[in-house]
Amino acid sequence: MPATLQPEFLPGTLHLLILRSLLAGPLHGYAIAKRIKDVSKSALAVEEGSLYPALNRMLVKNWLVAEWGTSENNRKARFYRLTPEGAAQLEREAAEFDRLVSAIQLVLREA
Amino acid sequence: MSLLAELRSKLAHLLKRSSFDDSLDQEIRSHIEFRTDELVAGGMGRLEAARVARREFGSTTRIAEESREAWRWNWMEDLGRDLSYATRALSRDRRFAFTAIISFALGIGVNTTIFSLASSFLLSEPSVANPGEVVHVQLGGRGQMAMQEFRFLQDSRVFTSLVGFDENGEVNWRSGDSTRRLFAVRVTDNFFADMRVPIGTGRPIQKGERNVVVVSDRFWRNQLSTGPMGQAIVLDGASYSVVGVLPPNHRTLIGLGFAPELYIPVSSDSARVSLYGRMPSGVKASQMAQRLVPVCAQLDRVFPHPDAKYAQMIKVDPVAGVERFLSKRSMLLFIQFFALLMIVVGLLLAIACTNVASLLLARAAARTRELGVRVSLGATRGRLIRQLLAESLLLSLAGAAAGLAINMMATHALNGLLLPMPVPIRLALQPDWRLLAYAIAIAIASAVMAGLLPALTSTRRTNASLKQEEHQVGGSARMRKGLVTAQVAVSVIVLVTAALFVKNLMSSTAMNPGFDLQRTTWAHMRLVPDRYPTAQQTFATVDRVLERVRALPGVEAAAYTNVVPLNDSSNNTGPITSDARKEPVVLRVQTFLISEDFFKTMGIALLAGRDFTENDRRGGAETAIINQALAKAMYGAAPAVGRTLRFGDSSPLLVVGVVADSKYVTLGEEEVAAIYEPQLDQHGNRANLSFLVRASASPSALTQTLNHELLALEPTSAVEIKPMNQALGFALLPSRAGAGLLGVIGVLGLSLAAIGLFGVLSYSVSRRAREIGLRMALGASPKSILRLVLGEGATIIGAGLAVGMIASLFVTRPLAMFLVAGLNPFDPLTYMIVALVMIIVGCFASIKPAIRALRSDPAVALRLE
Repeated sequence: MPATLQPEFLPGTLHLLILRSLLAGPLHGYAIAKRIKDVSKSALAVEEGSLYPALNRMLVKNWLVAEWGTSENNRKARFYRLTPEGAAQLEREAAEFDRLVSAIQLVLREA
Repeated sequence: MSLLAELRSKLAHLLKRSSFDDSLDQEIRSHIEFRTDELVAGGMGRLEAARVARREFGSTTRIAEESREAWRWNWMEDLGRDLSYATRALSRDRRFAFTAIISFALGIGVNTTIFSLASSFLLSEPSVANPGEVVHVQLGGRGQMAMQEFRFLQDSRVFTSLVGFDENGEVNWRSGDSTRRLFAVRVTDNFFADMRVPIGTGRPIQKGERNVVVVSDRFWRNQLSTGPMGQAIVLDGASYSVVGVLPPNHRTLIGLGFAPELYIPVSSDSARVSLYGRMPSGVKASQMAQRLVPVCAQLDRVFPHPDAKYAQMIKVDPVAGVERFLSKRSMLLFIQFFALLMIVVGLLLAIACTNVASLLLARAAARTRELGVRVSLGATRGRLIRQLLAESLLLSLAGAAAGLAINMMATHALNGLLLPMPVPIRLALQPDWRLLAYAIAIAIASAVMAGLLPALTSTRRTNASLKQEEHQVGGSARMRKGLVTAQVAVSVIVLVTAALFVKNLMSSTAMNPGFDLQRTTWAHMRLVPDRYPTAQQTFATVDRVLERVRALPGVEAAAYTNVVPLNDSSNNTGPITSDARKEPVVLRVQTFLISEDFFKTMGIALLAGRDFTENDRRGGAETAIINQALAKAMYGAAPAVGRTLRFGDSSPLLVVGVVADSKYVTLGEEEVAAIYEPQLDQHGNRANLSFLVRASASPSALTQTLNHELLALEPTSAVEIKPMNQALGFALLPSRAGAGLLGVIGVLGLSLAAIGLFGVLSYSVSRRAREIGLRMALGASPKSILRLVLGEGATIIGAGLAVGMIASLFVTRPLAMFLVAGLNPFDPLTYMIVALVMIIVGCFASIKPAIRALRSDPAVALRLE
């Protein structure tokens, strides 16, 4: 198994990753974690212990809404959907993250 | 915006919290199942897969707990922590906390007391079930209806229920050797059942009952010494059995604190009653008036009245709530008076808040270091402001608690007062949820008013470097001075208002009522109506009383009157015609029915013509005496004596005399028209007789004799004797109440401002101790030091006075309507007195700090360096 990084390593990135993975459409909790893991080629692993509290924090902030539905394999699951506020937040956080990363790269390259 | 959204989702969450827990559990379960499915697809056995998935997931409780955490009300927990920190901080500084709490307590105590008064008068509801459905019904402009008319309306079933209520029912109560007049309400026998009036002890009056009585709690305790139910009392010569006692907080349908001692059934079919109806639920008063039209038209056919039609003037007024006041114009004055009081006590609270604010500023200056340390440990400014506000909130809540204690004491004292009114009026102020809600609301508002500014300034300072603290203190001192200046200004407004009311009281007391107060005595005698069925019998007694009293030694003159000026009144507004002019005059005229010698007894000058004689009272020619104001209105400068005048269609009266104007209803009135007619048998029978007696010397010696003589003539009557100079309480009540309330408030405001000024000056002297010491060491004279300190006080007082005076000019403008005629709200003398008082108080507040400055030892001061 390759070494995995916890998204909390950089504060705030967990929210960013969740928001981004919901951009394509509603997903349930397990699918969100799996999507992040798959897309990052298993480099990022979202722990269940941080996933659900984070989802709830985002519900409170009205970035997401949750609905019960059935999954592709016919299991009852709670699906999370991005709200317009959530989409806006994603844009803000993504821009902020880009800025941060390029700043860090700048330092790594030039300093 | 996002905060609001957060609040909304948290609130929504509160409503479905239990379903949230379920769905969280289920979500965790389905997560584990997904993982199991995946593992099974990867080739693992199902049981094994489920075990692995569960292990991977970790502690479900911890995750559930952390998810729940997101929904919690963090600020509430923060507030709790802030409050407990504030408690510790304040308990270290007890003297400061005590002073601040006292300031808040005075402000909030006075505020809530006025609130209790206002809400009791304006918002209290009568003690009946669903008071919102009950209305007062007046038909054909008449307040009261005959019993047969009442029954007709009752049978019409327009109302769910209709009751008759006669608030003017008086009875003579015989207890031992003495007879006392009591105020009773006579009610129809369905009153208690249909209005569902709560009873404290015993039972209500029931259908068909006659000689039973329900007594007030006060009467039961004080007069019957909580005797047993069923005991007999003698009222108007008949025996009544006490069947029930009202609860102490009983309020009548009339409201306004009217507190009769008894409820008794309407005694006979000849009685007249006011109508109170319960409307079917959902019906409005205006709709009710519409429904009454056909019924009243029928009523007019069955009981035709010569002068008025019931169907023409139908008034349906709610008895509860604010509508009651909007329906009667005279009630608006109450609202205005309470609004004025609320503004004044609001200003007082503002003074108290400024006091606390300047205390907080001083404290913040001393805590710069502590706040600085907290900032460097990572506290944000918002966190510190919240922390400081929590402290002022704690102070204001403690102040509100103490203020409510003041409220309890004040309302208890007010409840004990029997107001000098012709009918018993008792305040029944009681703490209720409204009072509590109001107290909490103003406590929070005061916390913000007093705490926000100091919190903002003192945290701004900590952002700067800690080392600069010495320089930064100057800004806070300036702000404190500004606050005290504002305080002085507000006190000036409160004081001017109070002074105007005190002046109003003085000028109304000094106002000449136009009749003699010093040597006149008023003897009131109530006859038992059953014993005097006819007017002839009643007035035969009047003659006997006059004859007997006039023969007493020490009596100069005695007279009968139906109306005692400034205590009760009777008037007639009508077109008055005269033989001297063609067009009628429409004028409101005070009317009196009197005996001969009335003017001699009252000391009212006869300007022209003659007084009535006994012959006028026997009903010879129809005569009248008019006052100067009426003579002027009717005849101008021409002589009035010998002319005739008539009200509407009534028979003409021959004017035989003109008397000087006097005061009839209020002391403030000017040139009110009045007409006096001799009391004749035809004017109808009455139970209440008023005799006026003029003593040749002091009237106090006559009191006993008169009481004795009148009782000897009619032992079943109730006799009350009081000197006229004590009988003006009613007329003076508005001025006295205003002056009393506002005087107390003014003194409180002044003392709060004095405390504030003293605090600022002492603080300023202690802060400048080094500077003063240095100046003295360099040879400054004590005089110049004194000038330094007093100058500071003088600047504050001067600026505060200037601002306050100008503001007062605007604030006191609406006062004029509460003041007697001729008293100017811009009265320069009042303003001068207030300025003088403020300056004197300022001097006193400056003395101690000034002396301390003079005594400061240059050596000690320099060593502080």
